[in-house]
Amino acid sequence: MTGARAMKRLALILGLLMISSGAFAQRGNIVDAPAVRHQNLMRKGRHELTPSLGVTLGKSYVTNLMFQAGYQYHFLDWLAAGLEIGYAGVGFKTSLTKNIEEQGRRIEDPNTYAVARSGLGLMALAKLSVVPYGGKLVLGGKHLGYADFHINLGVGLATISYKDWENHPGSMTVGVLVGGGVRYFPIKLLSINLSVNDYMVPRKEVKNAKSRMTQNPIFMLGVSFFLPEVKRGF
Amino acid sequence: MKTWGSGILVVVAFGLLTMPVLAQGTKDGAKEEAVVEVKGESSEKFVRVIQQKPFVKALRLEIEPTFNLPLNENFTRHVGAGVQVRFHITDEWSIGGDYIKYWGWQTDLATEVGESFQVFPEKRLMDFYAGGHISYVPVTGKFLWFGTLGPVINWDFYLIAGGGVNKTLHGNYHGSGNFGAGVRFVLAQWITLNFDVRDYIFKEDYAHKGKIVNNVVFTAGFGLFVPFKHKYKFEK
Repeated sequence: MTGARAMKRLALILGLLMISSGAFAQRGNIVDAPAVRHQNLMRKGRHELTPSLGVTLGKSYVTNLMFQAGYQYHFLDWLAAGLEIGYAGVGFKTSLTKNIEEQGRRIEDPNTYAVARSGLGLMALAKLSVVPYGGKLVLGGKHLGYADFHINLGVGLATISYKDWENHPGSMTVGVLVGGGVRYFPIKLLSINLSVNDYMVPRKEVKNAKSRMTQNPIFMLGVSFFLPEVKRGF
Repeated sequence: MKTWGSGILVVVAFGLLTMPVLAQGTKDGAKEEAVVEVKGESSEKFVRVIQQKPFVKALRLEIEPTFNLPLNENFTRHVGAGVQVRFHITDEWSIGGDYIKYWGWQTDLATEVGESFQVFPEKRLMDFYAGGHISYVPVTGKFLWFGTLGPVINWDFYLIAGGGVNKTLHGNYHGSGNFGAGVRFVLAQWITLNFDVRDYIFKEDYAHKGKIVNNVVFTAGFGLFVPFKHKYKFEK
């Protein structure tokens, strides 16, 4: 009789243990679950082709336009590597350059009739892109889209273009890229990109200036085409 | 024999009871299904089908101490500090005021141009800006840190425009208009991290002639919301 009671108690304890272990397992799954289930991986495993147009910001003597083509492969949803080739040899005098030349003509100083100046030329860089933030957005409370913020780092070769400058120094140099921007995906196939990239190259901006590492921030507008189709996360 | 049989029955019964729980926890990596039983009209009091907004700005005051950096300067460089105070009428619309105090100096470029070309353009250091603004939020969103890590970060993108007075150290007060855009990252119910870029436009009276100046300013600041929490109408 005593043995039978002990068996009953044992059975009850085993039953309760089974209930509690199930409950713990369920809680563990929720805690370990990702913040977003079946997340659209907008970048992971996709190729990105990007034609872009840009303009230098805040340069003293010359404002350059940049025409660029880029390719990146996204190894992860937050990490990509690729190449970009751009040409920034098309430039315009700034109001400062025009004022200097106007002043030179006024005081009849032949050295400043035309300011000998330099600008960016051909740029070919290897690039690494990191996406610290990515997610969804709602436009005007109606239109759903995807967006990310990315940081660009790169290094490569750059040429310098010269205007009104006889016997100018060599034009081949090293370029370093640091920048960032946002992508907006109105559809999963493509994104509209806005970014500001600083292309740092050593050069003399004008003939009389010292050679130094110049910063050339460029505001870029581009459209990226992504292939293949979007995969979904866990 | 009877007691053995009852013991086995108890074990089997508990086993059957626990099976659905275990299956729910393991099936397809834990597919979750919430089943709500609706019994009668009174259930409207208990069933919530609209998810709560994670961050509500409407009818709250935002006080933002700011750091300011003009971006498009050549001959001068400034840094600024100030404050923006705005009242959010709705989650989209807000009105407010702002003040920026500037500290400035001449750059090497000014010296370089003078020495190289014997050209000495006038430089005007800024003193302060004070004015009001209106803001509209057309875009809201949520981000994840590195795709999967950490909590969801809610954010919004806002357009902002306003007017006020701008003063340089050499001049009188000048009427000034400005427009721009910014982004606000929600850190907690009471604090956000804000970045905006605005073009402050004013006319400065140089010795030679008056000139329209575009002062493009980057602003970073923490928005402190009062009251500290939004009270939802219904519980979560």
